[in-house]
Amino acid sequence: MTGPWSPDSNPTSDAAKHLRRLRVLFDGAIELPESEREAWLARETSGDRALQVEVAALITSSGATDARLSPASTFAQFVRAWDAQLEGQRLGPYVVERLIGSGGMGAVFEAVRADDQYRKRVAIKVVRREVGSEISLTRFRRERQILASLSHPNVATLLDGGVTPDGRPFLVMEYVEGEPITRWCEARRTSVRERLQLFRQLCAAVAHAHKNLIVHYDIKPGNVLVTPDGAVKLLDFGIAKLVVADGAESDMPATHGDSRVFTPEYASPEQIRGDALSTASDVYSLGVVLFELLSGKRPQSGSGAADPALPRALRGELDQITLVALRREPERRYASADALSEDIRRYLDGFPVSARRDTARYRFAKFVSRNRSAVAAASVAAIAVLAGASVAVVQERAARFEQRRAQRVSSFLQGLLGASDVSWASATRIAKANPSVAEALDSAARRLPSELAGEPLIRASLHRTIGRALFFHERGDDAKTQLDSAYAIHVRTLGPDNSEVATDLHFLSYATTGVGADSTESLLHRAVDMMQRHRPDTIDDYVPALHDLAYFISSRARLAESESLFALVVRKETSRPTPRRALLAITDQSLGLNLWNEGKFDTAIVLMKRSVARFDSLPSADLGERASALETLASALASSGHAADALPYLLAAKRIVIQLYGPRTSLLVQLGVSLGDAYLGRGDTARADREARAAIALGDSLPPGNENARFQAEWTYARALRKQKRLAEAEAVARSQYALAEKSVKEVPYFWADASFMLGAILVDRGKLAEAEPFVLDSYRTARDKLGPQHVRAIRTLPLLVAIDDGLGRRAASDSLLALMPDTMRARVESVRPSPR
Amino acid sequence: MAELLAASRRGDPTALDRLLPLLYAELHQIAERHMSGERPDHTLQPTALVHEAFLRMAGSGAGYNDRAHFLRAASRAMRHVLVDYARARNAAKRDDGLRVTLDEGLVARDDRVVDLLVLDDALDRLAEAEPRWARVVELRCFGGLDVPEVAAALDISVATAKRDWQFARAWLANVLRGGVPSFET
Repeated sequence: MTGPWSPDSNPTSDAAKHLRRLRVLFDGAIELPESEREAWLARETSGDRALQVEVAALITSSGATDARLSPASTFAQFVRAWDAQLEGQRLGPYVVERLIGSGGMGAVFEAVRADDQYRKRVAIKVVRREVGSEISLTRFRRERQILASLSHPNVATLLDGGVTPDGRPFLVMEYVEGEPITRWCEARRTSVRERLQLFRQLCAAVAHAHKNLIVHYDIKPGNVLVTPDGAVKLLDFGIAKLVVADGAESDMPATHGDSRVFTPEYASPEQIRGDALSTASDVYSLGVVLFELLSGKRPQSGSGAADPALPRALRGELDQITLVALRREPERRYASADALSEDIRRYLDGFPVSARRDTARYRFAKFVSRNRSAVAAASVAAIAVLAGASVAVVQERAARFEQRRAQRVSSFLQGLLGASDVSWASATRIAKANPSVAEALDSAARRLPSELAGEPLIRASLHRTIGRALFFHERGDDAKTQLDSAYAIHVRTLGPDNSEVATDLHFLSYATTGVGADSTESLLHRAVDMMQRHRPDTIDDYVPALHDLAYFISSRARLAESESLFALVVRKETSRPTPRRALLAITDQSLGLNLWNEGKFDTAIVLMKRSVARFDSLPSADLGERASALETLASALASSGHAADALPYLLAAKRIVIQLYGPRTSLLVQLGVSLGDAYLGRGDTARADREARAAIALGDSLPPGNENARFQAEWTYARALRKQKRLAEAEAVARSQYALAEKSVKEVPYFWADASFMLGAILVDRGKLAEAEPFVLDSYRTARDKLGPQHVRAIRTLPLLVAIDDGLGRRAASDSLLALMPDTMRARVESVRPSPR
Repeated sequence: MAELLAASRRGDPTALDRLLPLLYAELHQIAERHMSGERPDHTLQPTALVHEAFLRMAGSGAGYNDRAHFLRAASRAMRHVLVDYARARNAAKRDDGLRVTLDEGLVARDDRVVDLLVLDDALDRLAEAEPRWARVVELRCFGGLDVPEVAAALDISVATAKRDWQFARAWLANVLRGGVPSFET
């Protein structure tokens, strides 16, 4: 295939021969001057006219480029074909009828609500997503609720939303039968007055949204439709913000970048630069639309043009109005859509417009300076969403809005950072490292105290959110600082005993992991107790805190205690008006693990399978959890002798994890371990070896804080080496995992029993009995005392102890150990035991 | 990347781990080239395509000798993904409304639309006569490579690649224009 082409190298069908012949003729003919081709072809084809025509056609075609063969074309088609797959499908109660438009942000479909008697027509926008930077569905839902609260005759109502079976968020909007405002005016040759009146409807829609602290970001004629009866409908409010991938929030200076969604022709200069945005940005876009409505052109269609000017016939006051709306500096534009609209009304009514007055600039400057403190308070680094609030509104109702803004800011950051609000224990498992977000967090954290000094609750809420996020980024100490601040502020402003303080305690408990079992657990207990005193059913964080307490106790092997707590978790959550399915799925998983460790293997696997199934029915925001559920189930299967069953779950989990977090996450360390386990169970030691080694190498390259994962990886590798009788290597790895365990997991009885067992067992294998004895004994005692004498971790040390006692000539001691063994084990041990001298 | 490819072929599993993001980035670049002719209205994120292709390639478990080999496989994967979706789409009717919201810049216009199924079939016919010709088209149309890059990926001279492309493109244009009607028109 790579050599020079020769006509005889590939004898096949007639069609192929014909093509090769065409090629020879084509190559020959194209070299010749045009005038000689015909004669040459006639000669070469021995007068075959059909062939001559065919070659001539090829030569003609080769002169022109066919755009259809361009990559852009094939891709656009792909996008359409991909989108069109939804046609005919159901999304919730809606049946998708046809694809209306398809593009980078998503696809728009016409659909009907199928369960309605009158078959309501809707438009459904399905959001496209960037893999690896998933839109947070939590944030999507929150924003959606905010948008749904917009109710205005000139705003296309957001009716509903959801997630497609493959995990793409979608929005259901009022279906607007209409045309873009510019086209509508062109087609009807409407007068300037009519155009201005239409435009004022648009201003009313935008002003209404701004009063609700919502910025559009993408006002353009394509989003402004006029219905046949002349009503303006503004579409896609806030969509631009909704569809921006996390970490690339358009109004976030620290990470502004490629994913901003806007239309350059209508975007304000600050939007194009990627600066912080505000309602002034929408005012600018309104100005562009106004200009286009009046002149049929867009201003500044060239680059670097000076102030835009309307055609001569429209000069004068309208010119002034557009000019003010289109000022480069946001603070010099109209202060609001209302102000712009008001000036147009004055023009229509024959009053002098404010833009005309020489004092306009002065007045704006004054307005801004008057409101500067409000602006400053609102512009904490990563929180420019506040700047989206019209300054007037902020100032006027600051006090009343404080709580609400605190929620908005917090949900903004949470969404941005991908923090799950379901459970802390689970969130830690889906932590991801994203340097740009981490930097934004640091900068936000630094600026919090000074910039929000007067607004303690907002500040506390942000401290908490940032703290949580830092914790997910595996920055425990910094997280604790933030959470401590939140706690202190809440205690100071609200008192020491309330649901906010309790929630802080819950979160703080996680930032103290590793310091000591007592403090983590006591914080969790205090949190739960406090919540129980304050109408726990009204506290969103109550059941998650309860779950996390149960999870912690379970991890300390107090299994009966944790089992009953998990039962309480399930009871409380299912009695909520809308149980959080993700939380139930996580609880299934945690409880499954609990039961597994109690030795109730069958019930455990049933629960773990139910957890996987529950996740399968949940949107992809929970992909990380789903991977964890898959992994838990898989390890359970693998270690109960069903390695073949486990493999597909593990591979599925691995795929999700790579898809979500890339190949460099601590999650892959644990997954690699489990994969190694599964391969080992199947007897594929080579692959087990490879997986474990890869997991260890990955673990070693991770920042501190991942000792747990590294320990598990090394432990499994040591076991694999032992099975393969590569004992010298095994000993080295076993010593290393033991050292890791000493540093990081000594207080977890499972891990500690495992660590000492593995090192002891390998030393026994190598005949170093005296050296092995303390490790094996330690393992036995840890298991016996913390997990119970019948626990598998206790029992499994007995054959080793027998071997040690026998080898060291303490026959009597080992005889007494035999009595502790289950029958099958005793029989096996006795059969290989050297007979006494 | 070359080193990692070699290491992964030798069975070093960590090499593959380090390779994956590079391969992914490479695929992304290919997909971005697909978009290069589009209006800059929106930053179109070609992820869906990359994602699909990546999963296919990752799922095949094949190893790649070098970047050229990888590009050949990637172009091929892109082709298959596109054709599969065209196939799924084939039965569906088409309607270019512009009524609701409008990423109109990205809706393929008729004159730029190629029937992928016809193209796919034509590529098979080309391959039957000379596999290299089809490879050239794959790398150009689905891999987004330019002619010198195609030459490098196939280890042939630029002149040969250029002539192959010229011929294949002319022949395909005629096939696409003629006989079989495009489903988009």
